[in-house]
Amino acid sequence: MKNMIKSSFAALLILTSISCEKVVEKNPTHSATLENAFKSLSDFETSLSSAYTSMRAVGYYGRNQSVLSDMMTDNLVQTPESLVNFIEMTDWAFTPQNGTVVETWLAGWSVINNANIIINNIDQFKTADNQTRINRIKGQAIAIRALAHFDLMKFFADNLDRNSTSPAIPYVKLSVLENSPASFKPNRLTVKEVYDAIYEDIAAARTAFASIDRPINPATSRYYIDLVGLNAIHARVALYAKDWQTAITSSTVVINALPLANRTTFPNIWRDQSVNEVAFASLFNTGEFLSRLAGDVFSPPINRSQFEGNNSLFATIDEANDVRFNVNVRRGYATTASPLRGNNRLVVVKHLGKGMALDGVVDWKAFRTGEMYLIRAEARANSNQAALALDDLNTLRAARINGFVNGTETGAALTNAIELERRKELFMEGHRWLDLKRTTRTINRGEIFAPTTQSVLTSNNRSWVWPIPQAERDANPNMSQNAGY
Amino acid sequence: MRKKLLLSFCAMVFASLTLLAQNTTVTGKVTDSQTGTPLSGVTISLNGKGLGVTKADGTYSVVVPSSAKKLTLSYVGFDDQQITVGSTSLNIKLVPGEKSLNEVVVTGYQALQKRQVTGAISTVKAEAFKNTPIGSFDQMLQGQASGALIQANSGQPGAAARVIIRGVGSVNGTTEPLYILDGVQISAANFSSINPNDFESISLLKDASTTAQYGSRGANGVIVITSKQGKSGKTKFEYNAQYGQSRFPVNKLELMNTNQKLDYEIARGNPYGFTSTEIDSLRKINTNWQDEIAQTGITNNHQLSASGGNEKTSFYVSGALFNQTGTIQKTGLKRYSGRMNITHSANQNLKFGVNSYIGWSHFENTTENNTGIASPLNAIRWANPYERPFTRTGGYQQFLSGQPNPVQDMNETNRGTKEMKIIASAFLEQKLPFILDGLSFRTQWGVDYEDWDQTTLFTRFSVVGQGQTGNNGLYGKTSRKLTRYTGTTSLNYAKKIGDHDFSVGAYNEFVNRLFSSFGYNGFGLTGNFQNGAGITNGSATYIPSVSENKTENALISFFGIGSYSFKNKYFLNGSVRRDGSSRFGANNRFATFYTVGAGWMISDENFFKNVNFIETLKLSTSYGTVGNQEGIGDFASRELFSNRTYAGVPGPGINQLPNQELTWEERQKFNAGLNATFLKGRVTFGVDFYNDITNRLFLNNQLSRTTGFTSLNTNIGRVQNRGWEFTLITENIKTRDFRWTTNINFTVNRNKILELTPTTPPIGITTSTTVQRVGFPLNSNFLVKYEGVNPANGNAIYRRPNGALTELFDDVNDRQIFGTRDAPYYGGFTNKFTYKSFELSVFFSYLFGNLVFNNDRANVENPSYFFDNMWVEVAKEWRKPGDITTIPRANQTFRSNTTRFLEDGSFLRLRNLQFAYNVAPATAKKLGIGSARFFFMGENLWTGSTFLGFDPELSNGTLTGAQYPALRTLTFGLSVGF
Repeated sequence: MKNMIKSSFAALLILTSISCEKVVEKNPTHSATLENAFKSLSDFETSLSSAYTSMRAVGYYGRNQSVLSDMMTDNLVQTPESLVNFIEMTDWAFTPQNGTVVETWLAGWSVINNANIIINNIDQFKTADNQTRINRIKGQAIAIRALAHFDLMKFFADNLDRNSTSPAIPYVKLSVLENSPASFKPNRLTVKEVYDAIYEDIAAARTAFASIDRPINPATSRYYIDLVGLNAIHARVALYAKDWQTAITSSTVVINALPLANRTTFPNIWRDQSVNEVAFASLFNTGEFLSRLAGDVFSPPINRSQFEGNNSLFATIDEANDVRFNVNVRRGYATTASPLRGNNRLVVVKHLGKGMALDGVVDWKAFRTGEMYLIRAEARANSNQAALALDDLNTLRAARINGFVNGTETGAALTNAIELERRKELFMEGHRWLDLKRTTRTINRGEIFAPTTQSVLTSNNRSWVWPIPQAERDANPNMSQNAGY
Repeated sequence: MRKKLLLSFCAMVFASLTLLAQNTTVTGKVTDSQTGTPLSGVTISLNGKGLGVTKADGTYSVVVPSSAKKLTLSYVGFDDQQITVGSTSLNIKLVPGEKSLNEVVVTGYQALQKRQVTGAISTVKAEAFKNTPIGSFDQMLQGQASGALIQANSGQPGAAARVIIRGVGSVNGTTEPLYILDGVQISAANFSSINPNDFESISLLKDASTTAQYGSRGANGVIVITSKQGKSGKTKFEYNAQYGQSRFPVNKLELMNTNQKLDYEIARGNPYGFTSTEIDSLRKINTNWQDEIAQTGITNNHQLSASGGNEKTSFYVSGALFNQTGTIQKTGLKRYSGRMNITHSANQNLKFGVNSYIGWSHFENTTENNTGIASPLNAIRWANPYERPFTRTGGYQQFLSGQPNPVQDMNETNRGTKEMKIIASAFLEQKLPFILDGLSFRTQWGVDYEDWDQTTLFTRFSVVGQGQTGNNGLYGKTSRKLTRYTGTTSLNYAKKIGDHDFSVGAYNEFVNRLFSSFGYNGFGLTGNFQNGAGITNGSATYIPSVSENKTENALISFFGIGSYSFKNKYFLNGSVRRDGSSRFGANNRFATFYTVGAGWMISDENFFKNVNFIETLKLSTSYGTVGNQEGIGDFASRELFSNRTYAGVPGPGINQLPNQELTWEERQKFNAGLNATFLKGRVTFGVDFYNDITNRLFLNNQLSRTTGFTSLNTNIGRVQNRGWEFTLITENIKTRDFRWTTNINFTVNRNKILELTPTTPPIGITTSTTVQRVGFPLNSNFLVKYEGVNPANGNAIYRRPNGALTELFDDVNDRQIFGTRDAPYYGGFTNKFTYKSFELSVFFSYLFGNLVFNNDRANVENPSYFFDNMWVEVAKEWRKPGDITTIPRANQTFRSNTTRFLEDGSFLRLRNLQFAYNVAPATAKKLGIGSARFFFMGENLWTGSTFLGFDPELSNGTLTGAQYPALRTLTFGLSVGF
């Protein structure tokens, strides 16, 4: 008995001391670590999903890089149904602490970091015969990096001209796997320097896309950025930069590749039943990511209409003949049986859902041909090609309006017509705030109703340039603040 | 068996008799002075030397030298009593008390006599919280122990509290203490499945000398719970029953009634465009939305227990039912539980036993502490009083504002959690006198097992259900399993040589926690089934979602504990513990924690013999280090990639940055204490001073967002908690029939950040309303000072840090620190009156000195929300030049992060009021029962506070919204013993 106890006790002591180091070695099973996240080229290929999904965040296409631009301007009016969650944005009263500003800033850099992980590490799997596959993957990552930098700069830099010396944003080419996050504190570059880097990246992506192993998008969807998408990005960047020639060249590529939809097909684009004229769409679907990108404007499931079409804009749209009226808004629309506030509502219906669904979950059509016509028209009007500009404008209007008789605008009237057409065509597509910023820099909402408290935003207001978030400046003293904050 | 005992007893008596010729034998019976119950196991001693113990029937027989004058009787939970040896037969009644120094204090690994303790331990006896009608026992400790700040954020049946011992000492790590039940670590949550009526006592270990034994887990203090054990003797049965009702407290944030609201809307331009006829008919409606979703809560509590045993085996068995419905419809907690504790001594050297508990609970809840429009608790604030819950045809009324109808979302949603909890452990103790006298071996293995099954139902008629995939409701289930096992093996040696008394122990401990979860959400509840059978499968409209997770961590420790005492007067305790945690990188995994403590029983010194008014006086001090590793992720030091899916393609995406340097938080604890009893034990006073410094805080080192991340969890920074704890127990009146005792505790805690990351700017780490800044307490309010309204234009006025007034809101440069959210002063006091068989106990808890942020008010004062209901005072807003008011004009951008919404968080609460009647022992005997007690108990009957809300008790110093206030409960109960 005694011996038995003695020996079992000794055995127990030995057992516990042997297992000691091992028992505290645990590895995650439902997350990957750096050792097993990227084991082959396929892992980098699928890692593109991470870059594309991060573009669905609310700080990006989920809201702030999409419909927020309309909410902040005269395209929409805020209604009594509003939860007033964006009043600081829509009243232009945001400070460096504003949550929406902070969210937008972080979301852009998150996209860039995900792209950089691919760009900087994919070549470790390069072999003699997979260069075209690498080109297809890396080209997309580079294009995403260029687009995300541009999307951030639009809001956080003042003068967006090609050679502007306004402070913009850093251009980040290292991911957290290459830099040391705790000591990474980049400076703001000038707008020109950022454009230089964007142009360089676009050129690099073009080179990569010139030699790829297979098409990036199938015929039926446009969820990935391919060469057409890249040209669309380039056209928009060039428009902001007032680089008219590039804007014309690139938009022409998209226009030729993806002709305008006809009036029958046009409404189907917004129900994700047609990819006509879509250059790049960010995929939103319920299974992967339930987000109603326009839910803060009109949320179909709960019939809450927080922002509605501005009557003064829709008074200019021919309700009977212009296909865009009913694609954009509908009077007295309701998704539940008893419409609230009756027929007074001018409900925004551009993003109702896929097919017949009324859930607000629908792809974000980030770039499409309609915009390309307007970019080309504006670029041509600004580079002594007024006649061609008018042609573009008329082509677009004829495609949208039944029985349209060609307009004959010239000079300032042409410029104004292009601007008005942008409002009609690109309503709720995230352009209005930035269009005003890069052109007139004034907003006049006219008569306003609660909860909106601000009617006029003058060109010298600080709000045209968003503040660098305070948290960024706290962590990174190299980041200067914009004027007025 | 009984014979054998008798024989050995006789032998002992005979032996004593032969040794000491001039001895007398004293016999008698010891009983409880209150209940008359015989007490078994009472120690009878002479000058600190044990002579014997009482038997199961309370009788004793000891041999006393004829020279002896006074014998001392001591028993756990009772005051010591000195008796003069006069006759040979003495029947003694012991008075229950809390101040005996011979009382055993359990530290988890050791059981010490109170006089041996060199640290700070507060013990809460079962009696203090028995039958309290609260589902989660941590809430019951509020105000009961010095040094512990306990606040619940919710009155929802079963809701847990936030327990902070000696101040907040961590930012990113956990601030919850470690909970040990019968030697097994249990989760610091999910107490709603645990039956506290099985508890014997709860010890709060606060200083280094006690917590360092727990090494890496003890930084936030340790709460050691022991469950009831059987005592040898006659089998005792006890039955407790309780019934009561709870009601919603008074609302201090008065909202507009129909007339006030309509008048306000008209003044703001009649946003809904009501005609005068419509207005007249609306004025006839005045719905009290609170009443529409509230109910009278019912509490039912039943417990039957049996305990007993013989000299070899003892047991405690209980079965209980707790059923409580909340003050909001469709909320409540049902709990069924059972416990069995058995110990058996196989022979004089081998002892083993099992402590086992199984609890099953069903918790139904509503959403709370949020600003969601679908939370009924928010909707009762926001719904307009002129709206009705139902239409004429019986359907749910859809509100003009688009705000969800609270009755609709309450009726059409269900959130329930069924939980099974098993806490079981087995131990074996082998004395090894054949190797070395005083050597013993002990091993204990236990498990804390939790199995949740959380069900969510949103019918297609609820607003939240319409917001789901396919817009037709949701039925979801999440199943979670947690298995944490703790194994402790030790070799102990204790020896007394002359005046030297020492014991040492070598320990090995292993804790492993495995957590897994699985869940699904199904959609399309378009048919009759409102459960899993109603999910529409195979439809592209209703794609269900499925998720799974699993994570594990482990801790291994080797440690030694030693204690030494000289003449039972000078005490020295110490421990060294080496811990390894799986959470950290290989190079930072192991850390060593240590402590040393000393105590001096001054009153036992000769020079003190002549001090008559002080009975006992003890000084103690301790210093040591303790660690913290909880609260950060299981793989916090690694970079992690999660699976992200786009267009049907899943791929790796980084979601956590690595920090290979991450290691333990370390809390250095210093404690000095003085304990004294005066005036023949009628006054007990204790004071402790502590100074705790947490080094290597887990802090979010802020990163430039250009990395794509906001912060990196890093060990930088130090925070200090320094304070005083006072305990005073007095016996104010003590006559034959009447007794009045008072028990007061008070704690002052000063929290100060000593150091933050080098990259932290001087302003500190800010959130929208708080700041962590060097030199100030954690969670300091950081707001723009609101100074009212400019009568000329109705604009809000703010005060800048330089004292100037401004109308420009600048939350970058003008925010200032306004106090802390964590109360620096807190405690509780109990007055207990006993008259014959009647007992009245009045227990107050209190805290003060904190300022809390009332965001709930911001939601009914924001003029943009005037489409919904508003605070009644908003009608006083500025309308025209010259108006003197504190509410700015309605058409100015509303700013919430100002001191306008900062309020005094202090409160004094009548936490528990109990009136009881104990049936006289003689009567009980006639009725054929051992004892009987009837009681009325009131919980939270009165709260003194200026806070504008239902309840000032907020665990995080901010009221976000949707407050479920603490239950005000009145119960009646009885306890019968057989």
